[in-house]
Amino acid sequence: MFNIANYTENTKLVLFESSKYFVLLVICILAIRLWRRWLKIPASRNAGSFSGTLAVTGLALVVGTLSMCQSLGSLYSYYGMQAFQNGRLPQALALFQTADQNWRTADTLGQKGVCLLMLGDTDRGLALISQARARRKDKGTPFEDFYEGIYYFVKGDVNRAVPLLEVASTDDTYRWDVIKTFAVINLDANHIGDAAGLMQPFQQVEVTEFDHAYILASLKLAEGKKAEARALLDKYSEAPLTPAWQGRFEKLRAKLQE
Amino acid sequence: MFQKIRSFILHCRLEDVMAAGFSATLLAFFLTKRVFHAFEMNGHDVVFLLLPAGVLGLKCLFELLFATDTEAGGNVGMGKYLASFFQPLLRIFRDWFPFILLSSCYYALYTNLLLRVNPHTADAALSRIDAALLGDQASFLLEPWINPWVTDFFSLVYFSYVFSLPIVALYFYLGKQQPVFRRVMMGYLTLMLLGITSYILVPAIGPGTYFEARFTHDLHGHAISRGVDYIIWNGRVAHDCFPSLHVGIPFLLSLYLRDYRKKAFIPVLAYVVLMGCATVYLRYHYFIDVIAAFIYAPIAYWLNDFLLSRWPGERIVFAATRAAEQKIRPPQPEAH
Repeated sequence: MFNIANYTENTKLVLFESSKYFVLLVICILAIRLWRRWLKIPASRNAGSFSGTLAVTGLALVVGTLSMCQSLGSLYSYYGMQAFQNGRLPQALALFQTADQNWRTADTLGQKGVCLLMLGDTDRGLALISQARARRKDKGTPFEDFYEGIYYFVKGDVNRAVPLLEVASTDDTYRWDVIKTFAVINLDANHIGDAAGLMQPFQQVEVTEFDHAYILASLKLAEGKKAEARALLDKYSEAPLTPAWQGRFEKLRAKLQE
Repeated sequence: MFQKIRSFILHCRLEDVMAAGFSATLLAFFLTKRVFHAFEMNGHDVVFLLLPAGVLGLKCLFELLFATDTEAGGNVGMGKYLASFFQPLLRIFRDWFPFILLSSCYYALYTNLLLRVNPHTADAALSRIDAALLGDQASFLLEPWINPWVTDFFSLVYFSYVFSLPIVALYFYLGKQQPVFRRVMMGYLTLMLLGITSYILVPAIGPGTYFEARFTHDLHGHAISRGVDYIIWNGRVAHDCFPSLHVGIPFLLSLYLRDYRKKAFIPVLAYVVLMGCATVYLRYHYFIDVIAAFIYAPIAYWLNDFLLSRWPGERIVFAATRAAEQKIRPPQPEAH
């Protein structure tokens, strides 16, 4: 769970959680001391002392419950993200829902929304993402922006996809995927030069993903290097692809036959 | 009125006045000049300074839990009881918070002013001094001795720096030597201020990055060096080379230990030498940065005592000197 590369994030998390539970510990110890005093020392048994003891106990319960809910929310949200990144969408949705039940934040709403969007429940998904943005005064997270952008891209609504993906690309996690998506958008629009320009800094990157292979194959074909393009496509001939990607690969294969 | 305010300020603790002054400066910059885009307060030292405060807080809580109420205490009203309950916690907060706040302010100033006052890095000049002193760069001269176990060892030494000040400060605080604790903490912050001013005026990225293409051996350890490297690069602020505070702060602590715990002086000095070797071996610093640390630390030691002795209402140096004298002087036989 502890990723040393996220040192700053982890430090903030540890500091926040430890401060929260330290405050809880202080209130709990105060409540214990007050009850002990009330039970053991007869002189302290008066209405003011009793109501004070009850108030501190109540405060301990409230702070304790809220702290636990907040921690559980963060924990389920973290595991939900892990499940989402591993492609286990139904499990991720269940975990995000539990996180949301424990501690509702704009992030948990957005995470649920993205999950629903990816599972095909687009209306509810988009509504939740909008709610999440509204809670943050119209600001999205790179996670929400990226997947909503991808949703519009798959739908063919490039005008709505591009601004969202541009914003998401500020996050290192999504930058590479956004560059590839922009290259595909350019290839779909037959802007070969723009696509080549986008991919130019990544010439040395090893091809391990089908979309990368498709982009490079298209660029090789444009340069007249048919054999290299075919070799790249053949690498992913058995890969399970969505209908949109299958269409792109078939179109490219047909161009290679010409 | 003005006289009253002046008198109040002059009779506050020096660290309180400095913390309030720096916070106000930061706020003024933020509100008027828009110099700051973000307040980066993730410096190692700030985080690790919170560790001893946390340990003290937990110790205090357990003492509170196991403390017994007396019969006489039962007559005390709720307000007074709460005040007496929170008093030890507030005392820790009051003693440690100004130092943590000052440390944060220094980091915020540093991260936001770096390369704005002087946009030119001084790596070329520092490396030329190293070449004049040693004939070549110290990190190049050490290349034949690179070994994974040595790298791990020096990485551990380098990382242990973050615990050096918290341990010494906690030791004096728990020993109820309040004047010594405050003198050490103020000395540390004086050195930090000198170091940060130097980083802003003489920014340098260090030989590891500056000569990256010219190294023939990689610094890979077997076990911990990679983890330490991650933490250093994620937690540090760039261009913090001249002087090496990794050497300067332990050296300053050794000077204070010489005053109060003479037996610890030589082992700590040996640790300082190891730290100097680690900073050069791991390519974080030039040799001249280490030399500079041995000049900056005594200056901070002297400057801090000077400031504290001149500050009205402060008796830290006097009280701390007395504490040292009591420690050193053998008990006198009672006259019959």
